[in-house]
Amino acid sequence: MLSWLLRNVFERLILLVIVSIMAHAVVHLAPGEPSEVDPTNPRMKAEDVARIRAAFHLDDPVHVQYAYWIRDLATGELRSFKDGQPVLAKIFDRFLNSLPLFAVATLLVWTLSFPTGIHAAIRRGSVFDRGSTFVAYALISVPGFFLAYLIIMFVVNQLGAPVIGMRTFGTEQASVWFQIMDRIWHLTIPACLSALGGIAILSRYVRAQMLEVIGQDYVRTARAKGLGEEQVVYKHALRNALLPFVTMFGLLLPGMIGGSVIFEQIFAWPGIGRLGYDAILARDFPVILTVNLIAAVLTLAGTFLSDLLYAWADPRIRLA
Amino acid sequence: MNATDSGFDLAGLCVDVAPQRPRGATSVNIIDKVSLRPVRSRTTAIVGESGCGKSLMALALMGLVDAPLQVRSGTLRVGDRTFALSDKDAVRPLRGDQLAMVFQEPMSALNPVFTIGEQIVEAIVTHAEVGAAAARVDAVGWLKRVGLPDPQRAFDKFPHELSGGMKQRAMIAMALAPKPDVLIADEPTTALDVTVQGQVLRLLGSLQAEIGLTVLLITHDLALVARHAQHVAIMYAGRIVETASVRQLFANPQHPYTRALLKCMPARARRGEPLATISGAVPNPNGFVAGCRFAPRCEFVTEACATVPPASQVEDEHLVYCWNVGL
Amino acid sequence: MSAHTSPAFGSPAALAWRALRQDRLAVCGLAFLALLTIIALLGAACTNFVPAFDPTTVRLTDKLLPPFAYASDLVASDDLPALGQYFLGTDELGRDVFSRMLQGAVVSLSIGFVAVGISMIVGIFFGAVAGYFGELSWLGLSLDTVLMRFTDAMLCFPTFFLILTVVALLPASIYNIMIVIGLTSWMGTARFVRAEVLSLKDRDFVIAAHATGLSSWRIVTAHLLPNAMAPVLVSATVGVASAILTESALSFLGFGVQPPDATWGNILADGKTFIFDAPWLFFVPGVAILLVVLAFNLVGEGLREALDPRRAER
Repeated sequence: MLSWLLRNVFERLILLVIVSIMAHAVVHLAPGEPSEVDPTNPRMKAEDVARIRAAFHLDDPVHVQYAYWIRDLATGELRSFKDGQPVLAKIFDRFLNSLPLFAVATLLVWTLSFPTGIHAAIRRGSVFDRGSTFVAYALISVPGFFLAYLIIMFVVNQLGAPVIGMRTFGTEQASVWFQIMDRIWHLTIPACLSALGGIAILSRYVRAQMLEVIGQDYVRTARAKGLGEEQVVYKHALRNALLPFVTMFGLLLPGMIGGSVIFEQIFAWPGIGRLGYDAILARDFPVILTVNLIAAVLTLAGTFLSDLLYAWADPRIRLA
Repeated sequence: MNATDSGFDLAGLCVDVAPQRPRGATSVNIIDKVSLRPVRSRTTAIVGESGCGKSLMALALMGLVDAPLQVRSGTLRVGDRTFALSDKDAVRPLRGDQLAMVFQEPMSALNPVFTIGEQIVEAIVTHAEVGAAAARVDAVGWLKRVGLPDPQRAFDKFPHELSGGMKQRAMIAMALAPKPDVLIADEPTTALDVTVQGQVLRLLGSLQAEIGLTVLLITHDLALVARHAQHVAIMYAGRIVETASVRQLFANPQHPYTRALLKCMPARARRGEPLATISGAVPNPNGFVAGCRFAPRCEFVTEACATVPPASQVEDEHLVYCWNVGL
Repeated sequence: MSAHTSPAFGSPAALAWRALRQDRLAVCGLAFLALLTIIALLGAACTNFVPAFDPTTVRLTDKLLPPFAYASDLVASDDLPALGQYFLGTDELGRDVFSRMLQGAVVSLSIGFVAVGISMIVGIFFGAVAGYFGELSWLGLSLDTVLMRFTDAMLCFPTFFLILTVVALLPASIYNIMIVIGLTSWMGTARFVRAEVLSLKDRDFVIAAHATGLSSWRIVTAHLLPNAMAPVLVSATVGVASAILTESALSFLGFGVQPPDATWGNILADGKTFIFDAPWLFFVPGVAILLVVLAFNLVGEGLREALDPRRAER
């Protein structure tokens, strides 16, 4: 068990190194300068440009720049090209903003997908099944921001729900209770929208898994034993059908960075996706690279967690 | 055989397949008016080639037939209660309690995420009001009875940790723990090694003697029937063609199909001569003919065979469904 | 317990086609896509050669007209739309939305197809090489290990973010977008193909092929790959849908195909500013994308069901 753990962690570290090199290469091999270093800006003198370039090591060969990046990242000294702030602090700050949105959306996805998928599988071919299948396909196929704007129009006109930012302007002085309620209210629509796509995909997957398991021999044996249908489905079938989803739990982590760019842009939510987007616009290499690296770390940690969870959940698997 | 001697009474079972695609396709009959009255506390074997419908019949008895297959008609009388098999839920109360079933593939018939002990206990508590501790003792007792070494430890093992033969024994324990009257064993040893086959069937035989179990043994192997059954029904293309005691069948086979099957047994082959076969192949249900379904392959076929032959009594307990009885 | 409906004869492709035909939704999707392809090709011809369908004609007098509105008298006769009517309205520059959608159709579809084509080529190549030639090693590392570690590394990146990064750093062009989407979505295909090749490599028919003197390359392309095509085909179909959605997301963020070239994505993105004044500018491309992506997804799911190897047992 210990050897498996060590081997896995080691392999993932190697992958992380490869990923960091790849990310660095991709970013630095693109043409163009970080936008703060703008030779056409009349207020920038040649010495300023040279000074900035030297400060950020931009004239050094690529592999030297890589070394600087890693060193600065490790020591916490890595600074943004755009405003000189420490990168890790910025990212962490925005991460805390993204977290509630992500948490609520994930909660919605996981609590709604399973009942929907299971019910559709049990009542295969029924109106519910066909209806939910149709809705799921539509949600998967619609461009995210298209749906978002449609819902925003409806919601703003009919319900007066807030759709901009994390909180209403000027509420910093209000009572704590009001602020909390205000934050939750602001969270609702973005979280629901973010969740829709996830629910569509996950419920389809749950349905497919349940259908497969329900057709297995041991389900027939359970019926032959005289067990009631609820026990057959919710104890025997479900326990097996849920196995793959245990692994998905681990893969939640990296989801945080990926999907949020569009929605944070629409709702002006100051989160990590938006930070990445602004960094890309500003060609703020340290931030771009670090966000990518963190995403990779989360992915690797996520898959590691998945492997562990699967080994724990499925008695047929014993870690060599 | 009179009614009080039979373990149960199956009459007029008809099963069709009603395909959902392509739409509008008509139902095709598979099992046609099958009736069976296995003798209580004896082993009755149902013999037939793959695809003859014997497993399907067993599932129909238990109410486990799923779409697109459909039970059109059939009644099952157990004790003094009668059930209509066309209603799947009608026989639900019997499942596990009076009718138990053991399946062919022990590999996949046990739930992989629960220990075999848990699964046996579940069978017990579903049909009796016992506490968990008593159920556990009972389950361990059954594991011992079916011959699993170290039953206490076997209780906590997962299915994948047992060999095929042990899994099948565990399945038998699980099926018999609620003390059913009838055990349907659907090719219980086909998936096992030859050496283990005999052990498992002997186990069934001894349990039958101990507790008076009525066993319905579904198999394609006549050699097994000779050794482990007392009565036998031969099935072909969804119909029963001959029923008899084992001794009668082997001594005096009447139906052309039965005779051909017996001739094909490797044990009956003679050195230097080619092995006997039955020409043709078991038809697809789409290709069932009206009248006797064996007619296309029968060497004694006559014009009369275009209609379904009725039962003819050859001896006491020996029935044949053929126009050419006596030849 | 098999349902006997029809005997299984014919090549695997024929069987799969028959299975697919029974899925009504997939058939609808296919019909829709066939129709769309014809319209797109005709549209490309029309927008390029027929003045009435010129998507770039600016008619400032006819701004923001709703669908089915007629051209006003102030429009010069060369600039008149087909039949004098704007079937889908006009945008803020008086351009005919119908013509722009026609132009965008070809572009959006070709972005989808080219991107998926690239991802398939890369994925199949990596997968086949890793699966078949994987044991070749160099400096202690096997080819399989190197290729698979690279694939794993690529999978660690948040895909959309990576696409956005690269597209933003490169000069904006259709080709860059196609290439970037293609180069970031091959990993799944590579894994499928590798798994299939590995499982088939030691089968008898491969040994037989070797024995008759076929070169390794030919064995891979002619014998192994056709067997691996099922999941790749499904993945490709769904991949086109995904590429079209990605392109629209990029356009929303300002990094998609730049004007004056039209794609449905950038028409949609431009339309969001007029959502209250001229809602058709937003709805038309949005619904169009929805329908096309839906069609691809339905066909992809239908293919997945039809090509499922366990179907043969049912």
